[in-house]
Amino acid sequence: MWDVLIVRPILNMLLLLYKYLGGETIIAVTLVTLVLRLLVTPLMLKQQQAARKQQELRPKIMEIQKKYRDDPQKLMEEQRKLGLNPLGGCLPSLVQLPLMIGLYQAIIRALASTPLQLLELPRDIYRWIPSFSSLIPLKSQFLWLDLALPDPLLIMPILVVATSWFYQKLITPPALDAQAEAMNKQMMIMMPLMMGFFALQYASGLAIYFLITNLIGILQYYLFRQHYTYPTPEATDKKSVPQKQPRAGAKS
Amino acid sequence: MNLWRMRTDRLSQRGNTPHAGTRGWTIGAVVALTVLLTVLSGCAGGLRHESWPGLIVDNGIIYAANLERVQAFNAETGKWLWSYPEETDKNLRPFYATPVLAKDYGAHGLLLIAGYKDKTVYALSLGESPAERPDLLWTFAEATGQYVGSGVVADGKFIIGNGDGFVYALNLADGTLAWKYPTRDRVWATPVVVEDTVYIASLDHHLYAVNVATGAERWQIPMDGAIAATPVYIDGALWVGDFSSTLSQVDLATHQVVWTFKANDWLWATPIADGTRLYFTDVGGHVYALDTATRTMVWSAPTEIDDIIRSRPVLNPDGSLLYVAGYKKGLIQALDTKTGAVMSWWGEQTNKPGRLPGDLAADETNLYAMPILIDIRIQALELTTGQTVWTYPATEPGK
Repeated sequence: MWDVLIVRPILNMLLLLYKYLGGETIIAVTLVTLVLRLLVTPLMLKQQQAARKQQELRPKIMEIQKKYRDDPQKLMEEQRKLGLNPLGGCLPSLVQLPLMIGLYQAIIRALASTPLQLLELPRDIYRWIPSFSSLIPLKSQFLWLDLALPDPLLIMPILVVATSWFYQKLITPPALDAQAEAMNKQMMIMMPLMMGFFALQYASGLAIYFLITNLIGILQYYLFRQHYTYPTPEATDKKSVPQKQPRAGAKS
Repeated sequence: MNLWRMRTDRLSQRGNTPHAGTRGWTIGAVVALTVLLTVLSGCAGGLRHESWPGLIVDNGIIYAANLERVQAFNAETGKWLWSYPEETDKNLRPFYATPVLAKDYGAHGLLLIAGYKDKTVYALSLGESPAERPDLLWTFAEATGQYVGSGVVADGKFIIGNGDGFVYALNLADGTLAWKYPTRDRVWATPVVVEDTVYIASLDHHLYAVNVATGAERWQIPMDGAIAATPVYIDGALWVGDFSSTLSQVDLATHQVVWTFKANDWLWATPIADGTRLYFTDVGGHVYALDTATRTMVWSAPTEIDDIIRSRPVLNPDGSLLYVAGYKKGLIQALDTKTGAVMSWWGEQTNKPGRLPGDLAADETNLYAMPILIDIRIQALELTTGQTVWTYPATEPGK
């Protein structure tokens, strides 16, 4: 089901673009990545909007959390009234994930870095589109790279680490407490290193995909910058001061 | 006649917080990263040591390229004789190319093996006794790509294609390069030598004819698709299967494609010839029997194993049975060569089947298969019944 719904359509789109755009794998991979990134852009923007909204409502959230500490039911109810969805932050990520994994798998299958991988490819190719099988193997040379093999000069892994780090830095919302900040810092280091590790280990076609994904992400950030701009913790804290103080005084 | 089918593994022993914005994003990223890592490590293939191991049988001795080593066995008993290298060498693994025996060279013959990962050809000088561990005579490590297809011995040379697009001809005496010929893509098919010409099929969709002595090109012709199957020579023509599902008859005198047949799927397995009849399979699981003299299809049928077929089929000694192996399900089926009917099956469904991508081999009594992804590396099956004669490593644990 996964192959039929996700991987095969992407793989055949890749082959179609390869066929009609001069037989250049790099161009086909770039365009397919671009198309899929554009498809998930509304979700990404929604995710950023949700994160931003939660950031803005932070004082109010803290207040109701304090107030209904012993009544989780009521706490959830109040949060819902504020329009908050606890899964709002991560759900779009999870929805995007199948497409990204599907794209990755399509690239790996199309490039088929080992003979055994190529053996799996015929079943993924749509037979009703003529001559797709004649395209195989796809051209794997690009500059110094054989897209089916790891980059011998290590340039791609370095570029992947650098762009992953920069992209993470751009899209990570400001942390609101020490714990969140520590998690953010870990992610800022772990994600680029992991991407770099895979770019180092696997076919450089995968590194190209990582790089293009990061570059498109960075471009999207600058195009839709307003969605990624968060109120700083200081600003939200300042906002919360006049609200909190009178209540504290009233209690005493 | 007994019906039998073999399954290779049967014998195996074996947010609800005030900071939901930040945390939600972080949780999403962690989950995404975890899933991504799982998928990458499971599907990328780079860390999975798989190949299609192959073996040859000669005078009762099996020489097997066994994933990371070349090993020799007594074909009758399965007794392990020697391994090269003695200990597992991860730089060698995995082998794709089947070993080649050059019986007329060296004191008692040479065994030629080509590594996938280390991009090196090894010539082992065989001992007087088959049980004697061979000595390394020479190596050739100038190729820059991996060896997938096997080589051929002709004119005092070992001729083998490489992933760097070149075909290398190495002097058997010392391993020096006699000549090399460039193609435009990887060469995974074994070169075919007819008289003084070597025919090279490449993934670049071309068939080349090259002088076996000098490496000078005689001609080249374009084909419909990439060629990974070794062409078969019959009566002045080469029969070439390619990834566009086309079987082509190439007349060597005129070097023209004189006849084509469109199969149901990619043609990857090397066909096998029996007189004027050519048996070939496609990766979609179909088997074909073609009368090459009349160019008529005698029979063709999808196999009941319903699987990818990559391995070269083999015939029993009297040519009455054709054995085909399914890659993913690890099933071997025996077909009647007269009608294509499934003659026999044996086995049972299990959850973790071994896979059979490698070529089958046979001698007078046994059929030999080399499964991957299970503990058993070699299975010897009785040709007429499919009963297991021996397995390796079960017969020699620890070797």
